[in-house]
Order: sequence, then structure tokens, then C-alpha cells
Amino acid sequence: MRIRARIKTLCAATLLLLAPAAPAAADPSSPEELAAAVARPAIVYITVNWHGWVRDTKSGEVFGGAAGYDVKISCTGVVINPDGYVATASHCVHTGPRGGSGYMFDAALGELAKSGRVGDPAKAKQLMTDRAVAEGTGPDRPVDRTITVERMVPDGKRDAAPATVVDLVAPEDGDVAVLKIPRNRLPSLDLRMDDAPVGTPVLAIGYPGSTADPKLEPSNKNGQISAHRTLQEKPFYEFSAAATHGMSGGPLVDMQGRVTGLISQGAPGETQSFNFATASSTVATLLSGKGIEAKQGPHDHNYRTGLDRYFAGDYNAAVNYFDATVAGSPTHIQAAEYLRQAHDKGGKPSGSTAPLLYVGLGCALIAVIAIALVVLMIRRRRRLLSVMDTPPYGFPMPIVDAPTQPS
Amino acid sequence: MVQTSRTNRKLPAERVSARGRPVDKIERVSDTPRLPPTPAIVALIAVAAGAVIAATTLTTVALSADEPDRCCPAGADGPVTGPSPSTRAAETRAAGPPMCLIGSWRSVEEIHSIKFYTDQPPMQFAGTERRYEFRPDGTGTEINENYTLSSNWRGRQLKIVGNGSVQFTWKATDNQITYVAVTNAELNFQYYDHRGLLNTLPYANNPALNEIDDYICQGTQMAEGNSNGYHSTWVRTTGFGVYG
Repeated sequence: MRIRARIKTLCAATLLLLAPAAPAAADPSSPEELAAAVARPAIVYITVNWHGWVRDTKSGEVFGGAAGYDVKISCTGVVINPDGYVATASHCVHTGPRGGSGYMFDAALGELAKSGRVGDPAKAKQLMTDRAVAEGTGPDRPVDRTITVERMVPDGKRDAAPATVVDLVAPEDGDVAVLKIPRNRLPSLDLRMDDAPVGTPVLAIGYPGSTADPKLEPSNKNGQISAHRTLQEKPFYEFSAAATHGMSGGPLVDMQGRVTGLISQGAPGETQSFNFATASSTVATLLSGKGIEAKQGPHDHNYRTGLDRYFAGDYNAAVNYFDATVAGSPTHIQAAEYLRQAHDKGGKPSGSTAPLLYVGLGCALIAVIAIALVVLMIRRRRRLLSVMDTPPYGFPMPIVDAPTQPS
Repeated sequence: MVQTSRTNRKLPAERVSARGRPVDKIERVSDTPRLPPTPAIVALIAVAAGAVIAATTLTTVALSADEPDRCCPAGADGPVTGPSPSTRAAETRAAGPPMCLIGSWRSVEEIHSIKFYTDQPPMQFAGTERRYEFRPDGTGTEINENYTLSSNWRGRQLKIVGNGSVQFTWKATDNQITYVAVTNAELNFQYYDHRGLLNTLPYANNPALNEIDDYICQGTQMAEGNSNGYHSTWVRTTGFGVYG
């Protein structure tokens, strides 16, 4: 594959020298547009339903009544492997006080506040965190957690998939979780493995607020890397793009559409426009610990190339690439949309070059045979010449067709 | 004649002896295999060259064509879509006492109907500042510190003063509270009228109290009452049950 790619590159470079001028370009209006177009298909909407009770271990009081608390939170995730692996922030799915238990505590505190049993809210939360536990139907039984990953699929439908947690690092230790959903050939994004320098333009992508757009259209907030931070020995980025809670777990992508980090929780006391993102290296470390590779599929490469062709105004090639993207990832609605737009702009699919390759191989075979024959004939000729009589001066005797002797 | 098995060529000695005999020589020359014709070789070289050029050109064009990567056949690697999340089975847990009742309270108004004189019907007494604590395990404490109930009967000032505490058990629904039993009473009531202290009576344990009162609890206030002429209003204090 690599050799083929190199040959392709070499050949393409050669042909470029001979190629006519490129068609009129339709560049994206901004680098952010391309980055958003690249990243958008891999963004997923995550909802986590928590069900359980809160028990004050000191007083023994159980909050939640008979039915318990149902707490639903939303986050954002990004597909980092087409085989259904999704990265998000662990505080969305973690059962600890900064995750599910914390949401349960909030529910209990809300109810307590209505009963006039909350003084200072911050102190109340701390007190609850210190001495309460979230649990299931009995003491020390786990709370019920249901994770659903949603994305848009063709025909305006939303595909909701149940998710399981593959692995995570606690919110205070890196705030990354990897989920698995029973889906394949999903659009996925590449992880940026090097440190993004301070000043790198980025897009923070996610679903702000608790009410998602019916079409699951995420919000793209632009900003830049403001600083490199280390929290609990884990690398974080401080970035200037606005991000809210629903965007937690969403990717921070660079202008090439690579995942630079995952949106984490903001630092206490900071204004909304200063946020933290876990560096993607933490995601990679977590994945490697589970033997999972962050990778893209052929459809992702095709989609990316299709976008390049599309924005370069090469709509015929774009049609081919988007066609292949949809063939490889049938639920890739963005590729389908760009395919439609490329068609609208006059793009037409071209046939496969496989027959051309076969004819070329045939010619190569003919050449080999011809060369072999030439070699054989020359060798035969030399052999014959070597046994012919020669005159003293070294010239071969001409061959004369003598008349046959009459009998 | 001696011939090599491989080439059928004449040995040199024989050739020399043949030189003196022209006829033989002519015969032998005509036996020599023909050399491959030069034009044929040239033609083959031309064909080969042409084929090489064609193959190179076509392969180059084919490989350099702007063509997408090919992917897996449909359905080869599992579902593109798949199962949806299942709904959670309803789970319940024995509910604790109403959250609003839990905590510590102080009375700001109490009206009791008490039979003060044995030969008179019950009369209304009013008081404040009794303290209660309702715990989630169904136990509670009533604290009386000079808790004073007063009444006026025929121009006489009547007074009941309580001191001490009572431990009790309780249970409640959303609108009714049942004082199940008095488990430990260390409380005395002193009865006064215009003449002074009439009597001091201890409040006795009562394992079968079962006093049922209606109540309304909203935030920091609670109102309680029953059909025997008792009603009271309470405010929440920060002693117990308040977070932060």
C-alpha cells in the first residue's frame, strides 16, 4: 500500500508538470470551514442516564424516595476509530463525585433546597460529597448508568446506539473515557500526537446546553491554544474558544481537522471563555493500554480527499471520492451532502482506471516476450557465427546459396 | 563423420579435409542453419520498445489517476447500524420518611386543648419555643426548656411549664405524621393558676401513643394539627438536617 502510494505520488507529481491548469478553485471561506467540514462527521451526541439514590452515610438518610433519581446529562464525543470507539470526557460517564455521583448529589441538593435544608450551596455540595454516596437499589449497590451515543444518519433519522465504557481515567486524573458502540465504518478523526504550540488556531466542537438540535448540528467555536497546563501530571491545553458543559468531551481540532484535545471541565473561578482540554496524548495512552488503535478508515481518507478536491473546484474527482466515502460508510451523511453539492456544481463520476492498468500489464507482458525473443535470436545468431569458417582476415564467410548438384 | 550430439557441427579436422573437395563443401554450406534475419530482430526490438513505452505510460496513468481508496464490501465487518438502547427496568427502594420533615424545628405558635381543672372542660392554651428534632431513622426528640403554655380562664392566668426532653418514634406519609411511641420521657409539667403551683406531673413513657396529626411542610415552615383542637406552626432551625 505504501509503495503504491509512493508510486502514485511520484506519478502524480510527474503528471502535474504536464497537466493543464487546474479548474477554478472554490476554496473554503476560512480554514475553520474546512476544519469543521473534516471534523463534523465524527462528532456524536452522548446522553447518560443515571438512576439511583443518595445516602448520607452519617445520618443514614436516603434521598430519592421510592423511585430514586433519574438524572440525564448530555455530552459530546468524537469517533476515533471507525469500529465504534468514541472518546469523550470521563466526567460524563464516571461514577465518582465529579461524575454520576456528583449529578445525583446535585439532584438531592435540589430537592433539599426546596425543603429549606440547604444553607450555603457550595458548602452543602462539599458536605454531600464528603459524607454521601450514590447507590442503587440497596446500600453500596452501584447506580444504574445508561449511555447512549447518537448521530444523524440518512433520511433525517437519528441513530441511537447503546455504549459501554472501555476504559477511562478519572476526571481529576486526565478526564478521558473511551466508549464502544456496536457500530462499524463510522467516520472518525485522526489524533494529533504532537504538542500543539501556543497560538495554534483551534475549533471547539460540541453540543452546548442540555437541549440538542433535532438535527444534532454541533456548535463550532473558534479560538486558539492559550497555554499548556499540567494538572495531576497530565497535559492539558487552556484554550480561548467558548465552551459550555454540553460540549464536554467534544474535540478541540486544529485546522487540519485533527483532534488536539478533548474539552474538559473549566477551571473553577474562570470565566466561560477560558477552558481546558485534555491533550490527545492522554487519549492515545489510554487507547494503547487497551490495545486499541486510533485510526481512520479508507472512507475517512476518501472524504478528506473529496473535500480537498471539492474546495479545489475539481468536482469530478470530488464526486468519485464522496461516492467512495458513502460506499465505505453508508451512514456518512456529510459525504452524501457534499456529493450532492458536487453533482450540483457539475461534477460527474469517472470510470475506474483498473482496465487501463490491465492493458498496461498486457503491454508489459508483450514487451517481456519480445525482449526474450530478441535475446534468444541474438544468442542463436552469435552461436551460428562462431562456428562458421572465417577467412584469414577475420571476416565471416558470406553464405551463398549454391545450386543443387544435378544427379 | 563424427558429430557432437549438441550442435551437429563438423569437427575442425573434418572441415580441413573437406576443403579440397568443392562439391562436398557446397553441400555442407547448404546444411548450415540459417541465421535469424536481422529485420526480424529489429522488428522485435521495436515491438518490445513500443510495448515498454505503452506499459509504462498506461501504468503511470492508471496509478496516478485520482481514484479513491477502496473499502470493504457491504456488511463485511459487522453492522453499520445496530441495536438501540433498551429501556431500563423500573427499580424501587423502600422510601424513607418525607425529606421535608427531617431536621430540627422550633415552634412559633402552638394551640393546645388541655383539661386543666378536673371539673371543667378542656380549655385552650398557647405557647412557643418548643424544639423538635425529626431524624431519618424514625426517631425524634422533643426538648422543653421552660416551655410555657398560657391560658386565661375567668380572669385567672393559667400556666403550664414544661422542662425536660422526650424521645419518641414517628412515621409519616406526605401529609400525616404519626407519633408512634414515647420511648424515653424525662419531662415534667408544672401547673400554675392564680394561686401558684398546683401540681407537678411527669410525662410518662407511652409505647402505644399513636397520635396522628395532619401536617403541611413547605421549605422552612411546617404546620401541624389534629381534630382535638391542637395546631401549631414550626420553623426550621439549623441544628440538624441542613446542609451547608
